[in-house]
Amino acid sequence: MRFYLYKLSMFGLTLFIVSLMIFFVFQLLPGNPAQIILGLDADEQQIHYLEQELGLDKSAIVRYIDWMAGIFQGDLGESLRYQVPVSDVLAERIPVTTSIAIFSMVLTVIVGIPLGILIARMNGKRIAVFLSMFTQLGISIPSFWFGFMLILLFSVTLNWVTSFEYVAWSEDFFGALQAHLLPSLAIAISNIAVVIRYLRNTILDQNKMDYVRTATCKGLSERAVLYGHVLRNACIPIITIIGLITADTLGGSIIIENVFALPGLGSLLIQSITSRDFPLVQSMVLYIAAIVLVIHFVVDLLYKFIDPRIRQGR
Amino acid sequence: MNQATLAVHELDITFHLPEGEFYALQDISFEINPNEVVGIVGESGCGKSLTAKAIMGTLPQNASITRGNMIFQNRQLHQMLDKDWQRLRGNELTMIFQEPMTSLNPVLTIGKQVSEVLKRHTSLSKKERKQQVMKTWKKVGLPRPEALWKAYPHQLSGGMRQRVVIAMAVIGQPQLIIADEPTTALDVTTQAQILSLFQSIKQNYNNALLFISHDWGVIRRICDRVMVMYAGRIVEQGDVDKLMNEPKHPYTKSLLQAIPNASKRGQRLYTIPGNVPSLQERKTGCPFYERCPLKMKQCEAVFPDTYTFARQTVACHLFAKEGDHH
Repeated sequence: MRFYLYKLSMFGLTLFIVSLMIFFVFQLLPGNPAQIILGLDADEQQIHYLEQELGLDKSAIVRYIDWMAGIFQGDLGESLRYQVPVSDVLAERIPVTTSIAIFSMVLTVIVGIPLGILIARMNGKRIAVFLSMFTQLGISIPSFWFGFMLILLFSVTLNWVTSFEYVAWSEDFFGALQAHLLPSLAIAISNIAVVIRYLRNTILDQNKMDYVRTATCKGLSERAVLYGHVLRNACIPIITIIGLITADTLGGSIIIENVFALPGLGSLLIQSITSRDFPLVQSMVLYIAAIVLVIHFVVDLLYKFIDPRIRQGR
Repeated sequence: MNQATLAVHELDITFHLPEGEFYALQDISFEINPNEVVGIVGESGCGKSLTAKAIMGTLPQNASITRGNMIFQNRQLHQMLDKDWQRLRGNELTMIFQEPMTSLNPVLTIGKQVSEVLKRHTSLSKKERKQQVMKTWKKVGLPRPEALWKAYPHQLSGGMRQRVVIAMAVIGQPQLIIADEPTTALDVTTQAQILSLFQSIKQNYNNALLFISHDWGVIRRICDRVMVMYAGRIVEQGDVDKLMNEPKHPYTKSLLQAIPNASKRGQRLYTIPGNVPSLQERKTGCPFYERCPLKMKQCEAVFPDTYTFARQTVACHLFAKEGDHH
């Protein structure tokens, strides 16, 4: 119970510090939002009126307090660029990014974990060296390149994917599958490579541990030692890395969303920074920070579940 | 004499390294009879643990048996397939390790880890397995079995963990237990308790025990016979008391001389000059040549034959005239 109270208060404190930092960092950015909305040839008077209307004439501290007070009432403010509540804009964008992220994480886990185990079991054979080289490539090649290659292959050459319009799962299942597959795959490929490498190295490290020797001397087969003893211990580093990847993909991939013209968080973030849409940017950064914190919390819970030493606080 | 539990005959083990092939064990021959406790002593790097690994079939990937054989209960160990090994290990042939702190799996309960041996090798039901485990725990002096069943390794002391490992090793009533420095990592009091436990195991279970140690005190207390290993060779073997009172090989003499004791108080502790030659440094002659106080001309080029004195054998040129030639 104390653990959860502690985590909850840390959660609140971290978000508070993040909110302070983003708010005041954006105050330092050059560029007046009113000027950007009205264009370069707007006259002083117009800009002044708009500033008043948007509340930009108030001091930064007052605006920060207003923003915070709004958040606690469920009001994230209004986007300067879209002239609609920030929550409406986010409600449109978050499902896209989340849906792509989940799809790509599922791909990462169902492909990466079995392959990692397989390559670890083949250790010492020539084919394992060959496959390791591939994972090294997967890690070092940027995801947008995979994105272009996937488009080239499936869309240009094979003509399987014909449209790049985003389709939600609720609209049309197969359409959505088609819309999700390529971007998810492009994000997943390097993540799969990371998971494979991590899992393989962890398994090989664990294999050198004394408890593995004990298990072997009990008469267990190599398979039984791996699945009954090693994997459970290998879980902790793997969960850590999967947690990091998940937090990263849930925040939206700026590059992949641009390559596939997806209306997600990544592309929105770039657009709102260029247009100095502070209310929107602030809320997005806060959202991403919250996601990272929630994922870390889940990872902590999983640690406790897996490792009795952590569970009992030692 | 009855048939031996384990007979090792002229065993060579070679390491296949990028620089070439190197003998790690050479011409190892010994027997362990039912009910007998045989010790192996020697400095680190002499091949004690490697001998244990060879018997358990867990040699490192780059090492292999290049000559000789091992016969365990009428089976040729070195010809067995993985499946046969797995049936043997943990059941008829078990091992106890040096590091009780790390030899248990940190994320599984003690109950699961010990009963796993029975799950693997018997058809007992879950309930029967638990009963059997708790009976064994009582024999090895582990208290509060119900709490222990659900406990994890980090909750136990080193001595308790070593008892758990010993319980795993004896639960299947094996013919041979190999103990690789089982008391080295423990503090002195616990060490004494674990040694008593080994003595009671010797009486309660009719198994043979191969006990590896570098501690002559431990060897004298536990073993019937002892083998002295040096640089991958057995240089001397015989009954413990006889060998310790009348060591023949210069290496054995030096080792025994290096034991600190009260009568030598105030004197400088004797140490054997030099180090055990590494795999790559070993030559054809006697490996102890460089460090031997009694070295002769022929020692450098030719490894000595083994000479027998009653129940004691020694491989040293010094005894070329006296002993029975082998």
